[in-house]
Amino acid sequence: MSVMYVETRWLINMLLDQVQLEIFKNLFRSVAEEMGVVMQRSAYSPNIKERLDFSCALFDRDGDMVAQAAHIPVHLGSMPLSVKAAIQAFEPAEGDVILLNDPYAGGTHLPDITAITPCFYRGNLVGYLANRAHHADVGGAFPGSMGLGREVYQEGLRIPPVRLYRAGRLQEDVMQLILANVRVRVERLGDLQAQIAANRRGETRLLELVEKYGADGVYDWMNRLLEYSQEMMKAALRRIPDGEYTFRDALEDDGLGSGPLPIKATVSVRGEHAKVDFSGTAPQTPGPLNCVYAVTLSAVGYVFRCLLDEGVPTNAGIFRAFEVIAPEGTVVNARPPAAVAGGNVETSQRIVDVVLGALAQALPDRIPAAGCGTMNNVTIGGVDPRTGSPFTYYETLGGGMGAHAKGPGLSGVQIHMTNTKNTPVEALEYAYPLRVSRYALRRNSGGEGLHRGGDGLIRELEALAPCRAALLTERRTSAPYGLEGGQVGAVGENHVRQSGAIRRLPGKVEIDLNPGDILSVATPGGGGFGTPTGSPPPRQATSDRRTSTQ
Amino acid sequence: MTHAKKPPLVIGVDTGGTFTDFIAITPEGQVHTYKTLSTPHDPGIAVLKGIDVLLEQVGGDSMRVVHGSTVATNAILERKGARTAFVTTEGFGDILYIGRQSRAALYDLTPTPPEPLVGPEHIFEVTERVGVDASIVRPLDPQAVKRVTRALQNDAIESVALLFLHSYANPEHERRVAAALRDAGLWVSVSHEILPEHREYERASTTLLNAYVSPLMQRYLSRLGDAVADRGFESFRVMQSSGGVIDATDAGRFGVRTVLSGPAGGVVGAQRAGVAADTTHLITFDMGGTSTDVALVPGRLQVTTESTVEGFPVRIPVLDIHTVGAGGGSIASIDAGGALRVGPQSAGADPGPACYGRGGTGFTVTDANLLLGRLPEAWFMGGEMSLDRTAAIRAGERLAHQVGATLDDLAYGVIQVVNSNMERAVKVISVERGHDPRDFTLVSFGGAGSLHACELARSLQIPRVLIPRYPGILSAMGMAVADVVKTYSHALLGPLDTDHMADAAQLGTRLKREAESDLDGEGVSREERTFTLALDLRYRHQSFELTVPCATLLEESAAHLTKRLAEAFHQLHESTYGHAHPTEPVELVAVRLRAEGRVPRPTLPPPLGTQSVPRPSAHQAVYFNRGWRESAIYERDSLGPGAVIEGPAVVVERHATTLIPPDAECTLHPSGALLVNT
Repeated sequence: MSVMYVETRWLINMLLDQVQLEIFKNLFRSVAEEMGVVMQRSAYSPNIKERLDFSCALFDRDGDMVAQAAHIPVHLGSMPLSVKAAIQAFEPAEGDVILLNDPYAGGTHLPDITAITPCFYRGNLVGYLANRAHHADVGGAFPGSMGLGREVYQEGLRIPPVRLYRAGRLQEDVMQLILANVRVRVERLGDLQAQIAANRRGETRLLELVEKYGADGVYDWMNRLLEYSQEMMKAALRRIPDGEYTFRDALEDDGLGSGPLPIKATVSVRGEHAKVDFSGTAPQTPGPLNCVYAVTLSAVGYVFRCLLDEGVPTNAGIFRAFEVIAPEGTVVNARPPAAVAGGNVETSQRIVDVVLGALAQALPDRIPAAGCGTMNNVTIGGVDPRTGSPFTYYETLGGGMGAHAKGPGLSGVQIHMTNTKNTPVEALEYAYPLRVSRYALRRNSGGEGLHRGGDGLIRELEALAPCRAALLTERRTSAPYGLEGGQVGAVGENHVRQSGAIRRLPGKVEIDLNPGDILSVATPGGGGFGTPTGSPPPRQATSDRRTSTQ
Repeated sequence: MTHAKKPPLVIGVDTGGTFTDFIAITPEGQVHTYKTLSTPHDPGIAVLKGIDVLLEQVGGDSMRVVHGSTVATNAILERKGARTAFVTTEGFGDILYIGRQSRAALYDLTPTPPEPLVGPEHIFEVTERVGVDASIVRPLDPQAVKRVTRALQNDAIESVALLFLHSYANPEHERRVAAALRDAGLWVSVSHEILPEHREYERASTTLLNAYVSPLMQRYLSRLGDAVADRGFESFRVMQSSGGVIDATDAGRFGVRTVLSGPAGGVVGAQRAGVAADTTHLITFDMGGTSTDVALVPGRLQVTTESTVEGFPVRIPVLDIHTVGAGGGSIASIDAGGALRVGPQSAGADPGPACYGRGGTGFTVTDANLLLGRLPEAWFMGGEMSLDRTAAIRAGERLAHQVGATLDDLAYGVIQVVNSNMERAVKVISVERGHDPRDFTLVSFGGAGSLHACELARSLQIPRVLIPRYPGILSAMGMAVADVVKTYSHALLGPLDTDHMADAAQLGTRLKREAESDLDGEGVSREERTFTLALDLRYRHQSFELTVPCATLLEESAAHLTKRLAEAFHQLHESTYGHAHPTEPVELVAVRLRAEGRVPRPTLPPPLGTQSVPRPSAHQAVYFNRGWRESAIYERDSLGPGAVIEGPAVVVERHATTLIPPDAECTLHPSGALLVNT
């Protein structure tokens, strides 16, 4: 032990800081990553265990995020506000686990439930472990809690910061209150337990670090890492030519008849300072396309984070390097009780499009054309005739990525604010009374250009039991933009086939399905980059071949 | 067929990127080693050259060859596999491209699309559909099968990967199409034969990789097999990624099983060295020029079904080896935020580290080791290769100047950073899976491993480091001594109840019958066989399974087993994830069988050295964390039984160098391994 002490003192005093930075970066990141492994392995719902729709992070004792595992970007800037809200609500106490999902008290949209565990060493607070998971249902008017609500009250159970554990004891009444308000009780219970287990594992690892390096040693290095990321961010900002860059795009509609909803961003860069101002953006809207500030911050943070190497720790330091102005009462900073289910998944993508569009003027070689610009949210709920139990299925579909100066966009992938996996067809059909009748790339949906945008996807689902579906999709009428002469990507299309007739559906819709009905979602392609050279794309030749066997 | 009492001459051959390594163990227990440059255009040339050299030295009448080949791996890396087509259910031709729909790098706005193994013009869809309950939703269209067969022939397709949805539940359609394609003279990899488990993308990827590499693998192995047979060998086996060997003919059919065979040989070799030194709980550490492989051996070899090659999932059992892209050739740099980075750029074998004097200007880990006195030049590669210290200093000074550090601090910093990468890799396989490194011994091998092992062990509080004999060719050694291993699995989705338990027992019986016949084919005698049955179980709502051993599946009553397995599962879940749900229903997912055939164990000779009180060959200054220390240099081959070395010291041998830090004590174990108490 005394050798360890001497060595640690010596390391901190004498060694090259660069070396230690790298070491602690790895140490903190592995805490968050290991939490993710525990979460994935022990969760119940396909949305978490197969699609990995969750994030895990480590915070210092001030509530600043130190490390986040590379999970879902939209959680990136918003989790810190959850931790702050938890700290504000309760004096951190040993053995507590705080739960919340209220968009207006540290959350984003209701399905994302955050669990926060303050971590104590010999009675002293040394940090927080937090994770956020998208639950496939949190009650409300619509199965899957991703429907077309007019107020947050219709969107599901709203959980302000509450203590699910106090002094190490489960508050059974709190748990029962939550479970009484959701559709698939056993799944929620399993997922919540997985969230608790993930934090518990993170706590164990953090305490090991404190044991080894001392509470102050760990705290110092946490702060050095924040400074490091901040320095990296400033260096990246310095490489952007000074100036004011404005871009405007729009959400198509809010599903309840309002729209289009313009979003405008002005990015000002001076030296190592950057400011993103959303003045000129549409006021908040009745439908569920509103964002709380946390989501807007996440989206802007994501764009700036992309200007850094993959290896730079994603932490609070990045967020110290820029400023976001989001006028209150707009779709990018809504006031309660605005409905917000789609703000997180749809509006966040448009915010990215707008901020990237502005930066493309400054950095034409580094910024891609617009990607598919929507998460193509599909939610289906009903009763599974095989078991007699209710089910809720939630999935987001990828699309085309925007092309860029160096090459084409990727096809059929999740872009920007999400990176969830798909539910395998064979797992989906086992878990739900649904059959996938087609899952394919949507050929030639990427925008033409010197480099083509990536292609979107087509996913067709056949209902095997009566159920109710909701679609929350964008880019169905306004196409993803191209850059430098590249063409727009193809807009997405939603269809339903009922009793032999095929009908086109709007971008946002709730619909009842009967056995045999087929819901088809074709997702948008990415925008092209550069003026097309005129020669037809080679991939055209293949579509024939692939249908010749029918 | 039984083996002769006297063990045969065994030759292990490991083809690596730069060198092909050989080890020959004679029936009398003599060991001969050989290393020659690999011949990438036809790896067999180097293999036969080495075998001939060794045969000239030792001779013999009963002989076996075990080979670890990179043919399959290289075919994938270089996209030089067979002309392959993918045939699948109508509506799902793109599943290979879509994958799991996620992107590899979260914050990369301009990623490069991965190059697929099969172009869209070679993907064919067939009208058919099987349901999740094994029912036929749409019958197979025989006309479509004919059309596809013709198209494949017209396109001069050599190899076909065939996958229909839910074929693990009902393989009828796959069987019929496979038969038609095989009749047409095509090479067919069928998904339910390769991996009868659910999740279509992972199954498709594994099947496709098999289709892509197997024809090459078979041509290579059959040519080499003929040449080996001409030299009078009784068997020619190939190392698999699972750590066991199989007959070369089998390996040609299931090429995907060999994609990670090189590192697997090293882990097996490390395990055997551990056993010889009475140590069972090991962390293996194989540090080469461009990458480092680490694996956890908690008393037995651990396999995983979640590995990837070039980003493509491979869901067959392979040894659970974690690879990081850092090694002796990794280049140091300073990033924009002022942090010292090591890798991912590597100087490779050519030009190599600056000190190789072949024009490399990047400052590498090897250069840092040289400047810190840790790599005594006179003994490097047995003294056959001279090192250019001036070039290393030049490369280092440029970087040191950039950060305003002294050359010593910089070089030591590089070592610290690369060690921290290694530390993280070891944590991934140990602490992240609930194992405390303090309970393990670090087994270090590969060209660069033993220079870093003791300091790495200290930072992880691993109490002991073991450096086996022949650390530079340990993979070849592992291949020479590995057992025959065959693995089987079959999906069985359903609740854990007596009915399904009975089905599981039936499946188990079937798998065992198959295994028995395969081991007959390998010439493994009945008394040398062991079978390990296990079931994959999960909670009704989970989709990650835990594998629960079930030795008595074929004997115990279904009712009894059902109860016992549920309890075992709850316990395993608790110990793995820290919580369990004893009231939740448990589901069966798959039956697994591992069949092992023990091969005769060669005995190794005792160490040749005689110095039980070791005499240093020289002294030189070596840099440690508190500055330069005068350190003794010992030649490993001179050490005799009972020899004890106090750190700081350096032990040199032909293909490896071991650094013993101050206050550490190194002893020579009777088995010939060096054991360092850190």
